[in-house]
Amino acid sequence: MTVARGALILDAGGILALASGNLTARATLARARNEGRQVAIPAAVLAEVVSDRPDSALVDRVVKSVDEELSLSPQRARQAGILRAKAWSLRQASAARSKDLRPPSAVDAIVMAEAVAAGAAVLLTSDPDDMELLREAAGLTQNEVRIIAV
Amino acid sequence: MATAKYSTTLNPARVREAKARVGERGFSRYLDDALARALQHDRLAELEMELTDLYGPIPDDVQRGIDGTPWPK
Repeated sequence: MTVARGALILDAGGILALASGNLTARATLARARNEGRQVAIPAAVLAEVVSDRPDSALVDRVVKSVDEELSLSPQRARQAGILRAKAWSLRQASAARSKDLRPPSAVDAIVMAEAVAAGAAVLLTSDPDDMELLREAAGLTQNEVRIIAV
Repeated sequence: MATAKYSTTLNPARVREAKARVGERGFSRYLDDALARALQHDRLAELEMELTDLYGPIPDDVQRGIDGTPWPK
């Protein structure tokens, strides 16, 4: 399944921000709902946020309210791998970014690959630096993928 | 995803318009997608109310700030 054009996609930080009442996250969700945008969570993100701890009830509540998990196809996984490698090359080549010498996470790359597949999307994330790098690697700008930091 | 047949009552003008868009074979999928969107909308509205009960309302200036940012469509 491909996420709908213009969807709001949540990464782990976005889900945790909603569960903890972060105002930017809540206002973003409210706008997405008011505008009738699909809200989606790439399935790989669940590995970062779901647990059986008692204090994760609100996280589970957010995930169940969204109930739109994007399963990871081999094609999307490959696209994410290519994006991650390009982003890593960009980071290594950039003196300004050399202080942070690590590739973006595989899960972040999967989140961006889903946004790229949508054609246009909004990302709610706690890792805007890596997401911006991945967006740059995809050859896109904020006109196609808007990144909202929480 | 498992599917099943249901008998339901729909507005014929809307059904015609939908079938003109997606064809006879795409109609069930179109309807199911619309139902998914409506259900998610209602679940998220309930979540927002729960978060408001827990953390308080979203200040107007915060909501205006988010609403005033251009989002891709």
